[in-house]
Amino acid sequence: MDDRLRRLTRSGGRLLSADALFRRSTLVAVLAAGALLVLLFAVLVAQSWPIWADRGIVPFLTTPTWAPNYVDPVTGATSVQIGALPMIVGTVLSSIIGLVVAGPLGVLVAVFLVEYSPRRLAIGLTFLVELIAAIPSVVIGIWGLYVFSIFSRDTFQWWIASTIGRVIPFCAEDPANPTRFSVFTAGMVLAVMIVPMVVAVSREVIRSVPLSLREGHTGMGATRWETIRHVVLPTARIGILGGVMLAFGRALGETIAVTMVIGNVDQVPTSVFQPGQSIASKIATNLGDVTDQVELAGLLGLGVVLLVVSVGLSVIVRLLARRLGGAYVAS
Amino acid sequence: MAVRTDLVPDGAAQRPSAADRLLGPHRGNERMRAVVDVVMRLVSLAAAIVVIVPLVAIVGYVLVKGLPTLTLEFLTHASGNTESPGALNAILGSLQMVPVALLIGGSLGLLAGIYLAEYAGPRMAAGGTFLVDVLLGVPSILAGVLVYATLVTYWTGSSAIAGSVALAVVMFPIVIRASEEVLRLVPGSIREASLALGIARWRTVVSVVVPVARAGLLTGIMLAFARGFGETAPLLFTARGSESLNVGDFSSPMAALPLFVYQNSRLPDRTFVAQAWSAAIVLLAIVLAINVIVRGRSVGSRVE
Repeated sequence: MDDRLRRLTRSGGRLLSADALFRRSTLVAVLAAGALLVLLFAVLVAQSWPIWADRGIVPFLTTPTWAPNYVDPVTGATSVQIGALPMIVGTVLSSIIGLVVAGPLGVLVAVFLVEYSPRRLAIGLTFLVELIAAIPSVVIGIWGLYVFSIFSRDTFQWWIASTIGRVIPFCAEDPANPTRFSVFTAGMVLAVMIVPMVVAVSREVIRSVPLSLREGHTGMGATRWETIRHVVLPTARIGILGGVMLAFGRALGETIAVTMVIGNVDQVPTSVFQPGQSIASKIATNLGDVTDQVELAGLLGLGVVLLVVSVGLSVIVRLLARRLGGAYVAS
Repeated sequence: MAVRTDLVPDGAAQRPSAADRLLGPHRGNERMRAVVDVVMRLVSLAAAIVVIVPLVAIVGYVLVKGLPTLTLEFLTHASGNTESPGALNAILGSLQMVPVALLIGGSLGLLAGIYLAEYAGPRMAAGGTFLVDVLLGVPSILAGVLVYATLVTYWTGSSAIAGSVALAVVMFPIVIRASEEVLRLVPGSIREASLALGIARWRTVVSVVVPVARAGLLTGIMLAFARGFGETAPLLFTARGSESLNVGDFSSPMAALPLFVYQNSRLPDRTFVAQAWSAAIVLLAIVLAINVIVRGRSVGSRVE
């Protein structure tokens, strides 16, 4: 470097190395994020290895009992039964209930915010919906535990079970024994928690539908709703789907609120109105004081399942986003 | 209006026209179309109201159930106090563990955000953004499991530092995402002006770009703080909670407000449950206050 340039940059060659140093330290932070993900996989898989190696993936995922000291009721023989099926069913069922409630509701709210609401009302409502997302899950959990579960059991749980429950399997309740803590209650609590996410994503996607598309339709004499129904929502559907998938991922991994209302019974529920267990709630209630090595490996194996599913959902949403980007370039 | 189907080639008559498809089943019935429009307007308004109901119900019930036991003793006694137990240990625990977590996760996150926004090429930036997406999607309990299976098992045991690290894992991607987005908004002309003066790249970032973006960065960091403050799951098997006052000893278990609410709510004794509600007030007040302050200013820009 010639002297003039060196003088211009004031402290000569040292600055260059400071630049490299800073650049490298920021790169290290990014690599740390990558390492974190790799470490998460590696640690969980390594420490749950006995489950995968000794029992196999399929038996672990399909065994419907979780009992490290299982005593066969007929033969009296003891064996180790570590199965993830009750938790997988509980997680998926509760998340689907959350999604069935929060999905359409959230999209409707987004439609209202973007298409119908006066601007000031939209600002206020958006703010309130974002506040819901900010409530700590343990606070939603205690509300679910002492308020909502009782309200739900005494009102619409019975109503749903006696109408839809007669037609759709999995929705009937035990008439003699209505429970507060059930997969259904967990699903409703999840709905409260994920609705802000559905609203936020849908709102962004609906807002980004080009005005010219709406105008073209409205100009032909369509009403507001017809434009929404036939132009806005179809154009936005991939983005909305992506938001719904994100919300589903959030629901699958939600821990504390679900733990407080799902009932914590390691059984495959035959109805959503029965207590169950989710993957996250099983880990939350048991990992702290587990002593049995096989059971510990099983709990970490549940962690692997949760990690694979949530990473998989992120990848799917990414692919959807890529398709969405393509669609917008095309239009 | 009758259509001469015999003049149209086979099959074409059955196919709905573009107008049929776009205007739906009530095409031609003007009154019905207007009614449907009004009904859907009302339905979406109702949906907006329904979504707000849980917020009101949660805040309302927490206040109603928690206020009677939210006394001065509750705020100034540790939960191990046998005469009148309180939540001071939990409040102080959160106020210690969360800042330490923010120090770890926030500084790393800020650095990573700087790399992605300032240095990374397009492919690296896309890869980094995807990585952050994945990390944001990882359930927070797995942060707790990771720290439990490494730090807690092999090194520190149940301790406040393990809790802080678990919270830091949760905050890390949040801060990366927030700082990356904010830094990208800083106009390139500002960077160029600084570089044209002969100021080194790193100095440009530290003294020009970051200060310009400081309001946004602060927002992201505050939201990460609020998020960490409300997290229970990462602390379950790391910090674990403790009955006694723990100030400054990060090598032993420490209580935290969310943990206090969770653990007390499951106790059979009514007075403990009442305390869980009172602690929920404190928790909710802190977390919502941060969110209201931080989001209140910018919500208008996100709607328009």
